[in-house]
Order: sequence, then C-alpha cells, then structure tokens
Amino acid sequence: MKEMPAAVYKGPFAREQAERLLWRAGFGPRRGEAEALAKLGLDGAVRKLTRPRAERFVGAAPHDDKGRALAPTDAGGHDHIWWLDRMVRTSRPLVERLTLVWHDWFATSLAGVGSQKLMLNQNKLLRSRSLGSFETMLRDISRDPAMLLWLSGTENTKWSPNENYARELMELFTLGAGSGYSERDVREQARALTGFDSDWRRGVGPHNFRFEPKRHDSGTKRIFGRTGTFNWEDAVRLCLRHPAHPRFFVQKLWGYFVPTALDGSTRRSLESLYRRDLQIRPVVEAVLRHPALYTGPRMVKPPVVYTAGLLRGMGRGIDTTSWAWISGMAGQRLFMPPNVAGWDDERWLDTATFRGRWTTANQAARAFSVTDKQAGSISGDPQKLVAAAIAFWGSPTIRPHTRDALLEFARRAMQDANQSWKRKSYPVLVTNALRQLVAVSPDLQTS
Amino acid sequence: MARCCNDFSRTDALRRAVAEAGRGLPAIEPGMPIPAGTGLTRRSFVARSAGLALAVYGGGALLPRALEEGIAAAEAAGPQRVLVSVFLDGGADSLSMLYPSGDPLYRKLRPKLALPESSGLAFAEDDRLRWHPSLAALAQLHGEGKTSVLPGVGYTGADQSHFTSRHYWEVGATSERITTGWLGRYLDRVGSPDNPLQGLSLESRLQPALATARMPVSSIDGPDRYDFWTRGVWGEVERRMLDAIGSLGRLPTGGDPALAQATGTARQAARLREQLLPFVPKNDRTDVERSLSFGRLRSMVRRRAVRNASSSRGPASPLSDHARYSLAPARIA
Repeated sequence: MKEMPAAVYKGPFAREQAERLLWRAGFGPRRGEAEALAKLGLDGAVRKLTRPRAERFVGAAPHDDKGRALAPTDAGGHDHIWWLDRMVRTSRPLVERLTLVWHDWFATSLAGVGSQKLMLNQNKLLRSRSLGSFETMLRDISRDPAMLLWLSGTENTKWSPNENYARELMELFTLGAGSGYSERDVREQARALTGFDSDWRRGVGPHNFRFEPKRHDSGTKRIFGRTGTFNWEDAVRLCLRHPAHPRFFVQKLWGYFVPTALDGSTRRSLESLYRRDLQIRPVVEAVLRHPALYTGPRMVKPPVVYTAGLLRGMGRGIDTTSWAWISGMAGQRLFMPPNVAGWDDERWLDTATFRGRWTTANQAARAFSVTDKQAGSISGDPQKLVAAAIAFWGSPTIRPHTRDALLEFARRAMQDANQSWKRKSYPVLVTNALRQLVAVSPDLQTS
Repeated sequence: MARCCNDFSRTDALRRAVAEAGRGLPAIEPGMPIPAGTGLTRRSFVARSAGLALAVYGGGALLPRALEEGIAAAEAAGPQRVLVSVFLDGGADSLSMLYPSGDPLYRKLRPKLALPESSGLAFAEDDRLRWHPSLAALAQLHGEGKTSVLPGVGYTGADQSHFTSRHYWEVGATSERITTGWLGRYLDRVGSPDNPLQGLSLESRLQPALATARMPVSSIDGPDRYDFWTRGVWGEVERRMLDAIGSLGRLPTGGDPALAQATGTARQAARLREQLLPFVPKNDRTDVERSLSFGRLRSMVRRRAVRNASSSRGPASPLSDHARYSLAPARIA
C-alpha cells in the first residue's frame, strides 16, 4: 500500500520559524541569518540546509589562548574546540548538526579509544555520510577503527567471540531493545562479526586495522531465522533488512529534531520514504518540513549547540581552549559521550549543568564586558539597556514575559543608583548583568 | 572486574579516567572500580549539613572505617536522618563475591575461575555461599549486622541489555517507561517544593535514581563552588542579578515542557545557591551575602533541608548478570 506523504507545515514562515529551524537543524542563526532564511520560504530554507553548497568557513581561524593554531589530534581538549569551531563557522550547519547526531547515535568515546586521531577520523566519516545512505554509514562505522576499539571489534575472534558490537548494532544502532531479536541472534551476530584485527606498536598505538580471514568464524550461523555462513557485511545487511529497522530509524531520527512523539501516520510516511533506498536526506527533509517542528513545544538545546549558538549570534570565533572544560560542566564534552547509548536528551538541565551554562555565557561575554571607561556611551534607561543586551546576542526572539523580567531587574538595579558614582557605574554593571541574564534565560536555553 | 567491564566497553570512561587519577576506596577485590576521590570539603559538607559523616568520598583508606564513622555519627545524630546512597557504577561478578562453594555446577561451568571450596568466610545467612577472600571486611561488617546483602537480584525475561537493566536498577522497577528514580519518587511523596537540597547528587550531574517528577533536587560538584560569578558585575547589581535568576525561574511556561524544565532549573539553582551560601568562602560572596551567617544553614538542616544524598562512582558497566551490593547501616534510613 502506498503511504501518504508526511504532513507539511503550511503556516507563516517568518523570522521566528526560520530561527527555530536554524536551532533545530544547526546551531542557531548568525546575525541576519534567520531573516535571510525566512525569505526563502519553508521549502527553500529546508533545501538550503539539506542540499548545501561546498563548505566554507565564516570568520577567523580558531586558535588557543596564546594565539597558536589548534592541534586537534594531539593536544587535550583541542579535539573538542576544533569541532566546536566547525559548528560556529560552517556554512553547512545541518551537516555539522547531523554529524553531532551520528556521534550520539554511534556514541564512541575517546576515553575508551585513546586516540584523538582515530576519533577525528571517525568524525570525518560521520560528516561525510551525514546526509547519504545509512547503509553505507553503517558499513563504514562497523569497520571504523575507533568503533572497533570502542566495542571490542578487534577482540572478537572465532576462538573467543565478543558480543559487544553485535549487541549494540541491534539494540542501539538499528533495531532497538526487544525489537524482534533474541539472545541467540546476539551470539550468532557476534560470530558473524568476527575477524577484525589491528597491530599495536609503542609510540604509534593501534594501527593497521584490517579484516583477517583466519580470525573469522566462517561456520554456519542462524540469524533472525535465516541460515548462512554470514560475515560482518551480512550482519550489517541483515539488521538493515530486519522489519523493525525502518521504524527504529525514523523514530530515533525524529527525536533529535522534534520533542513530541511520532504519530502513526507520520511514522509510516517516513518509513516509506526511508525504505526506498535507506537514504537519510529524504527523511530529514520530511522531518524539517513537518508542522510539529514549527507548532509543537520547544526543545532544550544540547550544551554544545547552546555554546556554538551563542558564539554564532555574537559573532565570536574560537579563541580559547576553555570551551572544552566548560562544555564538560554543562554536560557535553564532545568525543566523550557518557556511554555507548550517547547523551540523555531528557536530562540536559539540572542545577549543576545550569551553572555550566552560566559559566558558558560568562565565558562568551566576558571578553566584551563593558567597563567604566565606556560609561559615557551607555544609557541608563532600563528599556534601552534590555534592548542592547538582547542585541548583543544577535537579537534572539525573547518572549514578552522574559523581557518584562529583564526590564524589572534593570529598573530595580537602576533605582539603587542613588549616588553620583552609582549613576555613572550602574548602567555598566547592569549591561554586563543583563547580557548574562538574557543568555541563561529559558528562552535561550530552549528553541 | 574492571577489566571485564573494559572488555565489555560499558565504561563510563570519562569518570573512570577521573577515578583512576584520584584516590578513592581501597579495592574491596582486585580490579574493583575505584570511586573518584573527593576532598574533605565534600566530606565535611555532608557532615555539617546532615549531622552525619558517612565519608565514602574522601582519599585514603575509607572502608570499613568510614562506614564505622558514619554509623557512629548517625547514632549520635538524633532524629535527623539522612539516606546516603552510594551507587558504584560497574560490574561485579556475583558468583565471585558470594560464591556457591559446594555447588558442583559452579565448578563445572567455571573450571578455571571457580574459587577453592573453603576459601573466604562463610556467609552467615546461607551456608551454600561463601565470601570472596578479599571481601573479609564486608563479611565482618555483615557479621556485625552493619551491612545487608541481596545476592542474585534479577528479573524475569531479562533481555540482557545493560541499559535496560541499569534503568531498572535506577528507577527501582521493571518498567522502561518510568522516568523517575526510586529516591526521586520518595521525595515526590514527602519532599518540599522549594528545597532542592533535600535530594543531593554530589557530582557534576544528577543521579537518575534521584530524578523526581515534581520536587526539586540538586547536583553539585562541591558545595563551596556553587557560585555565579559574572565579569563586570558586583555589589548591589550583582545581588539583583542573582535574585533575577529566581525571577527567570518563575516565568510562565504556557505548559511547554522544555520551558518548564528550564524555568524549574533556574528556580532550583537560585534556591540552591542561597542554601549553599554558608559554604562559599567569605571573600567570594557579595557584600550582602557576607552578612549572612553559617547559622542559617544550620537552621535549614534542622528543618530537614537535606533528606538524602546520592552519588555514584566508577565505570558504568551495568551487566545484568553482575551483582550489585549496597551498604545499608541500620541508622542510615
């Protein structure tokens, strides 16, 4: 039966909608970007994101606190800020955002892999496959050196099968727990996946990753009720052809962009799109056009999305390595997901990570904090102070209630200015405080 | 067993790196996940705020002495009771911790791993089991009635998913849909709507077991580090700014769950900051805050501000066939 296409948003596509799209499918707008995207209309805007031109980077090249070039494969934390820089400066925000999605989907951690170079190689792989064939991506990730180390692929031999990758291949990557596979399938898949090997040398670490036939279990296996002398490519193919896979795929992908549950009709439409040739782009395009993205509830921004978005909005590049540890405070150190299931999108915000976000905002704004030297150019009018603080972050949409709360703070603070030195200094202090409050407001924590 | 966890690649690797760099608990048995060492500040915080000093986070040899101290402090603490939950992330092989020494199947299935029949102390509650020789300290505490052991805990129809099993453990129920933790649901029943310190994760993220549906709880790295410094803001304006965090936390959300989460977190952060002020070094406080006294927190504790504290340590390896153990001194409810 031919499925109906997924619903498409028909309401106004103005700055507000474009702003949300840029946050969900990227890292928020640069100054003027939401207005420019809105002019393209929904279809044009989505196509601009999903079918981007060749990548270019906007703004100055990243550097560390001493002005030196980054060393992402070597220096600790530089891997994180190297990627953050791409998020901030890229002209292809959706590709970068999807790279983050796939990093979470195939969550691999530096702490288990032990090589920033291998992690960055995997990152490159995820980026290059981000909008293409999921089948190609899964094949490539299944033999990716970082993944082979992370989920014990090179320890999985015919003499001693290791179930790690087999289990996650089904549970986390393609089918979902309890979705039509058994413990026997896990064991048999592990046998099919045997055979990868690598060498190790002091000073070099693991290298020369390869498939070694003598380590592979070439015997007969029974997987999902089918019998054969399956190998790792068969293991991947069998998962992708499993009837539970399309549903798992579209539900999981949907969840990265829309917080509400996927309704049955939309799910079937997305599955139908995906089944044709297991391409990612058509599904993403349908999700980005769906009414739920524009009319539904907001989502909490992941910490690195929040950070990159602040920097994009204020037009600041990467000029410090502090973002690596600050992002950790906020709950998301890139290349170090908490476990193979990735980050928990339901739990970005708590009292500890709130302080991490506060530190993020302070770090972003501190280089531009105003001082008494600029006092003469700053108005003491609370309305103007609030407007200027919002403009500082690239004029994000702020709800009236939030604007009122900011205004109330500014009014009270300025009422305290009962001496001449306070009348001079307080507009300066209030400016810095307002920038901080705007950045940590619920409006900027969500999109 | 930590090696085993590594082999299964279920480690919470970032934490593990921290744990091995720090000084935590001495190994109860070889390879046991080492909890991240935390300093005296955290220990004394627990002691001062809760009237209880179960200092399982500090450096040096802590078990079983720290447990004894905790029990002693709890005994002296009067009616104020605090539940301290220590969740040791990681796998532990239940058939090694308490091994079925006389069971022929055990030796048949573990021809190399099986422990000698008479090694380790006998398990008083079940003569079919014996303690691993390295667990003599726990065996002694158990003999004195100061620990409880629940061997062989599991659930029917296990799909062997580590994440499912871990989830069940954290929520205290065999349901994949429950999003609140077992400690969190307790606080939802008896907690206060304006006291995030009543449920406290002493680490940089909230423990899932402490997740609530309605009542505020908190997670902090260290009580003396919960500040909100902002460059170029000080004095009266800083105080106003910090008050405004609470204002942001009271903004209407129109029923939007993400906005509710964001405002709720701002509200809880503002409240928590106030509650922790006594622990902030005086030089780091605003002028107004310096006028507040430590007695304020004391009175807060007397009003049962802190109800439970939770923490986890070590690599995450929720192997469903691995035993967990909990230490539950009688007076630590």
